[in-house]
Amino acid sequence: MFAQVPLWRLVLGYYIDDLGINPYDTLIAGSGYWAMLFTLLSLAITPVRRWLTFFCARFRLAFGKRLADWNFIVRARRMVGLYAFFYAVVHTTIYLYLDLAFDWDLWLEDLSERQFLVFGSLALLLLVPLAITSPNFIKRRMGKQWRRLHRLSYVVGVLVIVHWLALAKMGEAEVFIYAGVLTLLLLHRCLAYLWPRFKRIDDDGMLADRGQPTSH
Amino acid sequence: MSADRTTPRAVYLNRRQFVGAALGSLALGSRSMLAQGGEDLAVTPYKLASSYNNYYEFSQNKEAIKVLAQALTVNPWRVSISGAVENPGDYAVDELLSNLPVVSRIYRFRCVEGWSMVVPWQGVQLKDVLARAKPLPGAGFVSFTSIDRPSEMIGQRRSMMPWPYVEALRLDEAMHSLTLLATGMYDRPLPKQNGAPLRLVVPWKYGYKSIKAIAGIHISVDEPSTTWSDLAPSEYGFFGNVNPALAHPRWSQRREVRLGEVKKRPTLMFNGYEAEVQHLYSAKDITRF
Repeated sequence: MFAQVPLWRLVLGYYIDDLGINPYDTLIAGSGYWAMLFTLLSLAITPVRRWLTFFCARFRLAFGKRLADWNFIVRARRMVGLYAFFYAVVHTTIYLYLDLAFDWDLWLEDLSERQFLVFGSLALLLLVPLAITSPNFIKRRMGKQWRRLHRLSYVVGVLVIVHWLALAKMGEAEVFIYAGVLTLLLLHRCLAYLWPRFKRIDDDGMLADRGQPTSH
Repeated sequence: MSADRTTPRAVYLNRRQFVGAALGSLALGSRSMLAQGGEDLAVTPYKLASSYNNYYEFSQNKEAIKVLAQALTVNPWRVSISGAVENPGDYAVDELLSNLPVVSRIYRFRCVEGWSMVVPWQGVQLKDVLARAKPLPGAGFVSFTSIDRPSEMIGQRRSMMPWPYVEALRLDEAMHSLTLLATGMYDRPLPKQNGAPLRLVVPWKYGYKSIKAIAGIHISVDEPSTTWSDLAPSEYGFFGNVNPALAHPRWSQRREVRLGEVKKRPTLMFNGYEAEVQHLYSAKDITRF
C-alpha cells in the first residue's frame, strides 16, 4: 500500500542521515503532514464520490454515472482512516520520545504553555475510538451508533487543522490551503444536510461497504 | 572569572559522530539526556551551521537562504556610528575594526524556534568599538540596523515586515565582554547567509537578537524599538534572553534540538551564560520576554 511510503522514507532517512539539517523537525513535520492528509482524505471520500457521480452523469460518460460505480473508494475509507490514526500515533510518539523523553510532567507543562498541543492531543484521543470501532464485526454490532460515533471524524478534521494553524509561523501559507480544503469538505456536508436538493436519498454510503445493490 | 572563551584549536565532530552520540544516548536512557546540566562545547559542523539560517530578507526557507544570500554585495560596505556619542562617523568595515584586538570565541547559539548550535566566532568585542565612539553620559541603549536592499535581498520584495531589520541592546549588555561583532566563523570569513560582512553575536539571547549585515550602530538615551517586538509583542520582547521558564506560544523554550542531533536537550538559563550575565538583570527583567 502506497500509504506506507512516507513512513519508510522517514525511517530510511533517519538511518542514512537524510532527514535534513534539523531531523527532529523533519520527522515531526513529515508525520504530522501525512496524518493530516489522510484525515482530510477520509473526510473527502463521500463528497468526492458524489461529485464524481454528478460530473459523470452531467457529461454522460460511459462509466461513473451511478453512485455504486464509486463504491470502491468508500471501501478504501477504512484503510485511509486507519493510516491517519497510524501517522498520528507516529507523530505523537516522536514528540513524546524525542522531545519530552516521556517525561509526563513536562508534557503537562507543555500543554499548559502551548495551546496547539491541546488540540493535537484531543485529535489523537478522538481517533482512538474511531480506530477501535473500525473492524466490520464491531460495525455490525453497533448498528446505527457506529455512524453517529464516526461523525467524530469531522471534529478530528477541525482539530487537526486548528492544531497546525496555531503552531504555524507567520508567513507559512501552506496550512491555509488545507484549511480551505477542509472548509470545502465540511461545507459540502452542511449543504447536503440542510438542502434536500443536494441530498441523495438513494444511497447514504453505508451500503457501499457491504456490496449490496443500491436503490438507484 | 574571565568570560573569555579563547580556545586552542576546537574539536570538530563530524555529523556521523553526532548521530552516533544521539543514538548512544538513546541506549543510555532518556533521563540522562535531560539531567545533563553541564555543557559540552562540541562544535556544530560547519556544513550545518552555514546551511540552516533564518534570514527573512532572503527567504523563509532555511535551506534556500544559503543560495539566495550569495546575491548580496558585501564589499564595499560601510557602517555608520551615530547618536549620543562623542565620535560619530561613517566607516568601511576594515576601518571600523582596525587596531582592535581580534577574539576567537566558541559560543552556544540558541534560536527562539528551539534549535541550537555551537559556533566558533571570530571578531571584536563590541565594547571596544563603542569605547572608540565614546558614548555620552546618559546614553542607555545601542541599536543596530541592517540594510533595505530589495535589489539583492529578494525576500524584501514582499512587504511581510518593515525593512531594514532593527535590533537593540541595553548599553550594559552591549558593553559586556561576551558581546561580539563578528566578521568570521570557523576561521573563515562570515558566509553571506550567516550575516556577512558584520554581525552581532549575543550568546545569552535568542538568535533573532544577533542581527546580521549591520550597516548602522546608533546610541540613544531612550529604549529603541526592535523589529520583532514591534511585529509580535506577545512573543518577542526587547530583552530576548534565553529563559526556559518563560513560555512561548509556539515553541518550548525548555528544550532545544542541537543541529546534528535528533533528540532534544534541556535549554539552559541565559543559554548557559548565567554566571556571566545574571548580574545585569533584575528580578523584574527576567519576567519580560
